[in-house]
Amino acid sequence: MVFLPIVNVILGSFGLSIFKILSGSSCKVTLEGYLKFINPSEPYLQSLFFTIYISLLATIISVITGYFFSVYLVIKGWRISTLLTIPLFTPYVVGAFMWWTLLFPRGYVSLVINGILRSLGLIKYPIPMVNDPYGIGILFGEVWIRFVIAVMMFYSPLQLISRDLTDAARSLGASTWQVIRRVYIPLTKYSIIATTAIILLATMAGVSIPLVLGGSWPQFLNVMIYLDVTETFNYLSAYVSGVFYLITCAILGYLFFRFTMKRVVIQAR
Amino acid sequence: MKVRYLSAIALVITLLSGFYLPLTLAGTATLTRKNVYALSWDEIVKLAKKEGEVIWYGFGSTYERDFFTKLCEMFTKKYGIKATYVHGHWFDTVQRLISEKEAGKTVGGIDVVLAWSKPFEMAYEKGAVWDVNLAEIVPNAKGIPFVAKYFHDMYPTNGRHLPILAWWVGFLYRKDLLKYPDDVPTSFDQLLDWVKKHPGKFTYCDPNKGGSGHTFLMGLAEWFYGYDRFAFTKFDEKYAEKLFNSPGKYGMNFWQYLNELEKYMYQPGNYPQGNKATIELFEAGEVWLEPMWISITMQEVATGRLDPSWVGMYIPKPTMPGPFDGVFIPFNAPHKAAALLFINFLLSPEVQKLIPQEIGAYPAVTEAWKLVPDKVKSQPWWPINPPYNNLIKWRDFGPLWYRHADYMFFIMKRWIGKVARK
Repeated sequence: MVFLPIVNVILGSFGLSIFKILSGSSCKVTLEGYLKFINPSEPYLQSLFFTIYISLLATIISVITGYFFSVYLVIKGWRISTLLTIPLFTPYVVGAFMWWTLLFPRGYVSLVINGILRSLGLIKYPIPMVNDPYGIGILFGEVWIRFVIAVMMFYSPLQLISRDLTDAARSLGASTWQVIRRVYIPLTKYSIIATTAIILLATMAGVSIPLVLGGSWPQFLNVMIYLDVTETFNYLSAYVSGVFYLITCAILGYLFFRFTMKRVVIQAR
Repeated sequence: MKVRYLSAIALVITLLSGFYLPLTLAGTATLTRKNVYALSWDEIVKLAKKEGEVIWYGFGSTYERDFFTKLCEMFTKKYGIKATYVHGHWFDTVQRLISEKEAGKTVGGIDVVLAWSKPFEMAYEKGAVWDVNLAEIVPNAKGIPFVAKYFHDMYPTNGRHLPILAWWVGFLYRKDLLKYPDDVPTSFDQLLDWVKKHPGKFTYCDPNKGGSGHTFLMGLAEWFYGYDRFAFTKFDEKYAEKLFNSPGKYGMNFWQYLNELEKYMYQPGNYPQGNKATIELFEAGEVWLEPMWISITMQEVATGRLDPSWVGMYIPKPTMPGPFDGVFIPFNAPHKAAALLFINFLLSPEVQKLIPQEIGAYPAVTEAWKLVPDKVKSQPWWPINPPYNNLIKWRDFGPLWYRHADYMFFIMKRWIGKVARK
């Protein structure tokens, strides 16, 4: 049951159907979907790159801000506030619509940011901050949710680091930045890699946020799949995009398990 | 003696075929593709009451959901047949029916499905639609205009799908700032010039995210290349590719025209993602003119989000194509007679006259427009320009254009690469 949908997607990308094969119906193998996908004049390949690009950007921002916020909490000896965890319990689509109302041309966030940029003379016309071609809206939505996940994932390993180590570093004259660089980061590097991989995979897999906050172009590949299935009924392209998605996620997953899991286990011991 | 004996047998057979057979159909048998044409409407009503239930799957906004639920309550009250409305998405419903067909499930859980052309086509071609000419059986269907009765977005329905209403897209404009007809583009011919003179004040919905976008583009294409090129023609992708890359108006092809338009639109290259997002830009005062559904405009005013003094609506010349959305009965509907009665109820004058008032759509039985109170017709979201301000005249004298589902899909698919992406 786990592999059946995946097998069906792979077969579907060649114009085959598992149900037709089982029932003995005739099927014709085609590479049309793949040829279309890799054709630069078609939107799919660029969509895949855009997906990876925005997902990487959202992951980097979430991981860096989440990490330093966790370090700050640990240094100060503070606990994670329950309020901070709200995005974790907010359905993605609700969070996306909430951000849409804030980033919409008359939304508060949009008005404030564009107001500041205009008063500084950096822009002449307001920048579209949602449904925009740069993915700004998607970044806001993704980072809002992923930041909290990053904080939750970094907080525990950082708390486990013995206070003696940071005290020793301080007594040797280390600044806060040096403590972070020489003590915290080396001791939590596998946690950083694991968190990065998990957030990247989750960002790439999500559809609600890019669907609501993304623009007409470029689009996330999963939005293209959604539209191919529900709007234009182009199942062949949807299957092929699904295969490329699976391959990309499988590579990322492999890297994650290959380089982190053993070490995470060892470190945990 | 022998003659008398034979006569007696003949009499018994005649009596049986004359009285017993219909009684059997109406009393015990279920409705099938074969017997449905032989029964009178009264017999179908009897069967419907015997079935006692009908389940209707629909889609739309919360306004439509509430209205359709209300219709079910009205039907239950009128006929004593329990009607249930299930609000969902046409895609899920059609996929379910197709799966049931492929799995050979002969008795399903849906009696009536609200669907537009493409989902109907999908279901019909997979054999998931009850293969009966509803237009011949449902009495109130006679009031539907012929083309709408047998075609949906130019797809031949063969009467297996009956429209119950017609959504329409018009040009929504800022009435407080622009005066009709002097300050607005009254025809598609004037649109580009108007947009150039009012940079940033026009937008349209991403055609892949909202019907106001793709209906507008279909209307624009029909004007750009001439309606005859599309009207009930067989779709051919190669021909479509050639046509849309050939010069139409202003020496430009369709995509060049849209890209020229885009240069002067609101935030060029940034298309609102959905009907709601599009009308929100209007409500925020960002744009002054946009193609928009009459129904959504009405609903936005009703909820207090859109100032009615801002609302002006008209149909640009030559016209805007309109989709008549309707219902079909699935192949495995458990209550087919009740479904027929329910569809007849949906097409009755008492329901049809409510449609403009409750959800801002036109009645499929166009004569019902006469029953709509003047107070409703005078609301600002109805088109103000003749003949579009009177559905009967519009129907009788036209131009009444339709969308071509396949060309519309072609436009939607190509638009991403040719306009949004560039």
